[in-house]
Amino acid sequence: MKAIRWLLMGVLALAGCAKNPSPIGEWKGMAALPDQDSVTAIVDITKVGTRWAGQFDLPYHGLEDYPLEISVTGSQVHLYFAGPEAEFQGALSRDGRALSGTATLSDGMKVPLTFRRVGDAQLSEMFWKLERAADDSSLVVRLSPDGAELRAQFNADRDKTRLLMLLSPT
Amino acid sequence: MQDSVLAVVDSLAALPHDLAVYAVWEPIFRTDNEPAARKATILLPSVRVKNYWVGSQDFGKTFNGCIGLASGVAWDVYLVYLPGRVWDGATPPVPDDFMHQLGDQLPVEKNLDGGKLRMMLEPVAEDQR
Repeated sequence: MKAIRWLLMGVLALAGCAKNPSPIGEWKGMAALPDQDSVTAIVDITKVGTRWAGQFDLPYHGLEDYPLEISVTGSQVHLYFAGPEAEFQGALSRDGRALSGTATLSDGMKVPLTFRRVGDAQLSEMFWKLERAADDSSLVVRLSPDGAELRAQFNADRDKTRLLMLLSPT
Repeated sequence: MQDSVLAVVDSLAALPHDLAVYAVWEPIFRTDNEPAARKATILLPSVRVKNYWVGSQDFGKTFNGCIGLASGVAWDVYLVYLPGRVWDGATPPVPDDFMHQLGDQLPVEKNLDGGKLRMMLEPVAEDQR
């Protein structure tokens, strides 16, 4: 009986080792671009509820806390960098300390890139405030395709001066 | 979102008159979606602002004719409507004035300038008092 228990514990331990490592954390990578200085990217990845969320810095370009679109399938990680419109597709190493793959720049150029885990994700208070807002459906009115809700409000405010702004959220 | 936009909206909060402000968030970039629009509202904290999300660029295109935009989608534009203007049909009314950040797609003298935008709104405030 004791032997079976030890055997079961061993199997469970092995199963734990086989589990995919998590990309949650802070990562630093350096891409060598042709005819340019190498570019360092710092990426912070976390999970908010069931969805992935994060931010990135590109210090060379003066970008800080820019939104990062993240998808994770097993050990495969895809990142989309808003702003520079670059993508990264890579795989986590078995020990979860490296994320290696290819970055595709906005002009289609592909460069090899490896991120190294440097610690826990460093996310600002504003990041968490924004992430909470992302889940709050009361913050925006969803317009019908013909904008009926806005038209009704616009006409209800007809005695006022009105400023209507058409904007991209990112 | 550009800092100039935030500066404009911050300055609106200080305007003393009755002004209605609508922010319509549109899907222009790949990362633009409804959760991103909800996040953006945090950056426009003025109580004057009513926020809307529209899931297609078609709605923005209905504004093209109002401001003389020949192609593309009207976005990063700021339309001023004076009291009395009514939105009757499917097409939005022509604004009394507007500003933009669409480069050479629209007149350069209409490039967004927070100070000028305030001036478009303030004289009316004097009349309304």
